[in-house]
Amino acid sequence: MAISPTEAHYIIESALHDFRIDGRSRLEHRPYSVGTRPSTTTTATSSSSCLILSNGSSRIHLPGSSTDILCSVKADLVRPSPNKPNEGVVEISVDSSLAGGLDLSLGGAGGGGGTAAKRQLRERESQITSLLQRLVVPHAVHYRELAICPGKYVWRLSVDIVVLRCDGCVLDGCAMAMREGLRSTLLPRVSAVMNGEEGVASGVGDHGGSSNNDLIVEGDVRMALPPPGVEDCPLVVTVGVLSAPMGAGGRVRHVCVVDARTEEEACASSRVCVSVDRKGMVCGVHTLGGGGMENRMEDEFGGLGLGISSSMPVNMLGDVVNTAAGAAKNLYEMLDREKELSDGKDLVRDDHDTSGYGNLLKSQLLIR
Amino acid sequence: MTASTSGSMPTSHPTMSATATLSNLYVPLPLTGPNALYDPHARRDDSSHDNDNDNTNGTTRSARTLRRLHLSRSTLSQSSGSSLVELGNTKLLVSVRGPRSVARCSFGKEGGLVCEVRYLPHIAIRTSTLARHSLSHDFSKSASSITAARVPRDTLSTSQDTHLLSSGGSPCAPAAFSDETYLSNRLYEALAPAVVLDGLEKTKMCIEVFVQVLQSDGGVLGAAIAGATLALVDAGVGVKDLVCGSSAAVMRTELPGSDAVKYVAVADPTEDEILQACGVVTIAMMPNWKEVTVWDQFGKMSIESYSEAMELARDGCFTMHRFLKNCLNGGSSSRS
Repeated sequence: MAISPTEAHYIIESALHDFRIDGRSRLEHRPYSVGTRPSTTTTATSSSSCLILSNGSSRIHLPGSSTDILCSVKADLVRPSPNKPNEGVVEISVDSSLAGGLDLSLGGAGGGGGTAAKRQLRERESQITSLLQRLVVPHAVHYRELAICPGKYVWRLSVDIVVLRCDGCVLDGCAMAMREGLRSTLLPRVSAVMNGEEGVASGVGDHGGSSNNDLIVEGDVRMALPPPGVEDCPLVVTVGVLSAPMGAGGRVRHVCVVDARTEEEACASSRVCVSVDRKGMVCGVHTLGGGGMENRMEDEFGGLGLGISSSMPVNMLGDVVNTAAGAAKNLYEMLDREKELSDGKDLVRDDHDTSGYGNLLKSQLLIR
Repeated sequence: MTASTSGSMPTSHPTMSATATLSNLYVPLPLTGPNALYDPHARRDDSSHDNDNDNTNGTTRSARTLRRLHLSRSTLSQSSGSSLVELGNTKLLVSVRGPRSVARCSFGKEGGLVCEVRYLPHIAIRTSTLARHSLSHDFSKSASSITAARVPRDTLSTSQDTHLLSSGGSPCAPAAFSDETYLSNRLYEALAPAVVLDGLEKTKMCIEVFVQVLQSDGGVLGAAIAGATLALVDAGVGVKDLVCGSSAAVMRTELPGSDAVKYVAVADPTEDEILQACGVVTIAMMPNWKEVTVWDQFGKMSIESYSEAMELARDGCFTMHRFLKNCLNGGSSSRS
């Protein structure tokens, strides 16, 4: 994202006074809405998801579709790996080929064309994938309870995330989509009958061949349950650290913002992804580079001590964690409200509002 | 690198002097299982076996003590700069080459700083560590798993197996054994803010930092960062500050006699400790600038224990910084 030093200065200075470019306060998230149902086409029938071929799905979007992320969860039974015979598997893949703006949102050089841009896109995708793998996946579900029969059958949940559009904080959005997708997933109750071990109580007989065991699948949808432990699935909060080069006393001032937009990400001196679960436990931390402003800032203000990649003052660490924990709490509340809303009634949202979030807020301000 | 033949006694480690730094490379690490009665204030310390000149004379260390740190530089004659770091039983060699043109670099295509971390293929990782990720089941059942024929043939590929290694088992297993690309990236991120390149990347020149992990016993990233800084300085590359890395773990301990559970943060955890821990924090920082360059966490921990662990990791960085400076000022240094 190209951003001029003046613009950056404006964004940072206003953030220091707790004003964001879209009118939020520093620890406020944008009003993400969660869709786990078909939006307008059908009336809500039982518990169908928005992607009917998957076991669970979700869509995270902002009004005006400045962020739009789809997630689908497909569950199937697989043989566990010999390393982990009694644990289920969660696989994750992120696709962002439709999102033209994604390369901007992670603060890359962007631009370029042809194969270089394509390669960069793949790199971004794999970066998001590996970060989610590290921050969210290990805590997403209770792996041991995904085993149907240890050593033979376990659930594999394949999570596919499609980033259609993203205006900053792509990891937060992906984690949200993944969590909501997993929460909307329903796994049929499957029990394994091992011949000679459990006793062949049921009417399922031998199937010839070499197999002596069989699976009984509970056909009733109402008996299906979400994956165990999915309520503990953490969310990621990306805390952007904005630093104003020269404060009143000639020292560097820092301020944390959550859920930064692309512009704010571009002027962050560093970004920290913190994954926090519902109980407020910190499940993982990862530092991302800054938004690429540093070099120019250094030219501008000289000898700031910021290099190519980012660093942040050591006394900010506690601040960042507290910020993330506080913001995550609000985010959980917001998502719960969304969930209730979409569970309670068929959600009618103004999806055709193409004016964008900034305009939306502007109109609100005008009304005030 | 030669294996020491002097260690004839199988139970005792060979003596380690300040210069014979690689001598106990091939001595197998003592096998200690996960201890049920873990005392964070009296931790086993396998590394301090010959501290004759120290008066601590202990096989235990407290929750705040780092392991024995040994640093030496200019160990390899072929590189522009090199260093050897031993942090307890974690040992690694760092070699810095360059500046040379990008075309001649063995890895990396863009100019500037290039970092690469490799494990010695067969001996650097403890087999018990690899095995412990999956040893929690009995083998008798899995041996007969060939009969499960109704499962879709689409079973797990090998690449998923490696990622499984890092996602299950102990919550902190990835901190105990992180893969090489991850370590390389983190090492780069840790060093990049400190290294003064003077426009080197614009002229398509690069400086290579190559880390060879000889033995891994926890804290590889921290040791690699410290070793890489040392080697960079040894090679005469300008740095803003000596970057140091240190980690701290949060251990869950049951108080004897009661059911109460206490979470205690311990500095510089060994691999055994990491595998038992609920969370591990790693911090890399430039102590003089008080700037953090890498900040990483595995596992779960509450915010209270978080600040405790971060403080320990930070103190570890400061301590390490002192020893790095010491080493640069006058030969090798070691502590326990």
